[in-house]
Amino acid sequence: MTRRDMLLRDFMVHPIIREKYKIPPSKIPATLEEGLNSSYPIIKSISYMIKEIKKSPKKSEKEVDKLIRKLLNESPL
Amino acid sequence: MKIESITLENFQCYYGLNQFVFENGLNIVLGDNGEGKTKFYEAIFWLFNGDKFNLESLISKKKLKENYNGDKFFVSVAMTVTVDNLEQKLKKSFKVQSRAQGIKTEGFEFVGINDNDIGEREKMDGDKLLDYIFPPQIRRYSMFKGEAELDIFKSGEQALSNLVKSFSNASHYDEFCKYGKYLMNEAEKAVNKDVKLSTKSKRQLQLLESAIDKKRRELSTLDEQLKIKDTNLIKIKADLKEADKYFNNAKHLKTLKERIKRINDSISITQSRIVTNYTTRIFDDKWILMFFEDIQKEFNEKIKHEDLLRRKEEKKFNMEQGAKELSEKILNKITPLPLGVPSASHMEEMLKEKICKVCNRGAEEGSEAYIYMEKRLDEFKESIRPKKENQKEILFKKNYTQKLFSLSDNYTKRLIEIRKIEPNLKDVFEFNERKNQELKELERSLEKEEREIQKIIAKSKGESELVNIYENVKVWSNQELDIEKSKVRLVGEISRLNKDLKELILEKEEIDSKEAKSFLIDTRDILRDIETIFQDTRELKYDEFIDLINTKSNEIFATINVDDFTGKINLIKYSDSRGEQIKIELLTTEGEYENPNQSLETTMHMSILFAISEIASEISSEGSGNYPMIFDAPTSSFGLKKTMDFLNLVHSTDKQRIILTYEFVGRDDKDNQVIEEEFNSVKRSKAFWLRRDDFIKDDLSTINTNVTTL
Repeated sequence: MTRRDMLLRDFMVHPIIREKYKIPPSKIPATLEEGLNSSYPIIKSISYMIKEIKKSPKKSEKEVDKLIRKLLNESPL
Repeated sequence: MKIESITLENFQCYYGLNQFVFENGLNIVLGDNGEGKTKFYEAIFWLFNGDKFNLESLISKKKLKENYNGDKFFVSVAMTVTVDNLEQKLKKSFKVQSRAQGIKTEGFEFVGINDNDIGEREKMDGDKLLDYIFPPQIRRYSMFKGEAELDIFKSGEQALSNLVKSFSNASHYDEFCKYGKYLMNEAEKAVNKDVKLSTKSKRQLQLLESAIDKKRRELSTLDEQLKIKDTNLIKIKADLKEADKYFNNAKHLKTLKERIKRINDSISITQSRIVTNYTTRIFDDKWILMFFEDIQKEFNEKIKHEDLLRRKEEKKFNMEQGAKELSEKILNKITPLPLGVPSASHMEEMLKEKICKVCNRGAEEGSEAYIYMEKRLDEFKESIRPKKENQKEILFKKNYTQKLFSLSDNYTKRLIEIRKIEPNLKDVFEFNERKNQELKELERSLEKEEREIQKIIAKSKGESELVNIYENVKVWSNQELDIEKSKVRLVGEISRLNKDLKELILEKEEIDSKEAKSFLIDTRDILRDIETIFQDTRELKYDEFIDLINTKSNEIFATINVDDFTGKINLIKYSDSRGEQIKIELLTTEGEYENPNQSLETTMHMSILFAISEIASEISSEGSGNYPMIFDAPTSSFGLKKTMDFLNLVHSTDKQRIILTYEFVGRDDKDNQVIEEEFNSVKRSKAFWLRRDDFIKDDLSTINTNVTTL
């Protein structure tokens, strides 16, 4: 398990994921790769943020914002 | 990393070359106060942190005196360490030249010699090598001077984040929080912008935004004020807690200082009363005559003796003179002139007629017969002239003996006065002796009080800090009350503002929901949730790290306090104007233990440090994560028994620790330093004993510390 996978796992255990978004345990990604392909916008957004923030060189806040908003606008919310 | 050796060369009280060769495990450096322990610690600190300034204060005064003629010599501190079985060397040094114009220092350098893994040696910058083998974030938690420094959370700016950055991966979450917040703010702005496009709600939104901004600004100002108050309150509480802990010491210090002042006053008075102007008193007060009576007696005896001799001589002379006189009297009054001698008138007649009528020969004037007749006539006249009594001959024409008697009598009369000198002089000497004894007593008391002060300082804080505590404790108490009162007022205002703000935000959210496009609202809500997830996860990770330190600290704490305190260490995270901080509590079954004694507090801080050291070892890669720790006098408040227990525990951890302590050094009957027997029961890998040569109090050039490996 990579550090990025571990980061995603740490975020996925937050109660909001289960309680507010009602995402079943089977749909919780185990790896970042799975997260990037998730059908849940919140999971997908978090996964992309991990990917971009931990990329070298990492993207600026503005670039990440642009990317995530585009992603959310395209996703069925 | 293991420290193999440290070599000091002409560094402060370490004259010449002094080498400490260390072992893994516990290394103990023993030394009474003032023997060079702290200088040794400072040498290591200088090696790690020292720059090229103020070098003169580091030079051995003994070496300097020896080389006053201008010869150059080196001052250096060198350390050899092994990391992963490879030897690395660090050496900081400079050259010194003592000249008539003053001391010149030059050639300051910090050199590292690195043994690389293919067996080559390379010279490199000392700072770089040091940071490589002993990273700064670990060094920060590896060297401690005294007990007060052991509390790493006390004064630390960003104490928690420093710890987290150094020893936990929780710091990864910080940047997610930063990004999350940015994205959420941008989403909020997008919603606002969209709502403003609606002319219907534009004015209302502007008013609301303006009101929200105003409330937020007010809230932010009050929050800031509250944080400052909190920070000040924490500081004052810490000061008061410390004051409470050290107040008795501070009070004792004040009493001792007053006593020392009184002793010094007494010393001055006693010194001023001691008569030392003996020369003046010898002459002015006639002390010189103290032994005069003996001399006068001898003088008197001699006079008497001389007088006796004189009288004997006189008697003899008088007898002889009397006999002579008697004989003359007989001659003058009884015995007739010899036959054939003419009378005086006949002799005058013959001289007149210039003829001797005895032999009928002429006797011209000037002839032999004429002169003979003249002479006989004179003798005859003289013999018949009666002699006066007072014209008697005397033997001693000047009566010196009598004069000497008079002189002696005079002196005898003055003896009464002279006899008073001896008791007076004796009194003075006895008085001086007594005063000198008193002085010695006073100086002993002074030394005792000064030693007591040193003990108090070693047990607690520096002298100035203790004075500060004594003088300011009341001020701090008043400040604490003032701050608490103003905090209550601020909290009330903040609560009211928060309530107002919440209402305004709700009002705005309602407008947002009605007026903004739904996808913008959804995006904002998701980004709000993501920000919450990031923040909470970060908090969780920080808490987990603090829990880890808590758990490890308590394991160690329980071992150190095996027979004593059974409470627990509890690290608590909080925020103030400096950022996130950690507070240490000591918990008992009844709640917080408010005023732990110094020994307990030191044990607590040591446990946390050892825990951090263990965590550092665990997170460090390639097995090089064991780092040495160096403590100068960490157990001053422990007492001998607890120090022994503590050292035995440290020894059992099997990690390299260098502990400098004044314990176990005692004095024998002759006041010579000795290692106390108890030290035999202390398990250790190696021990050293620091002792100074005999030195002259005011001459720094006579100070030299000797290192003995025990």
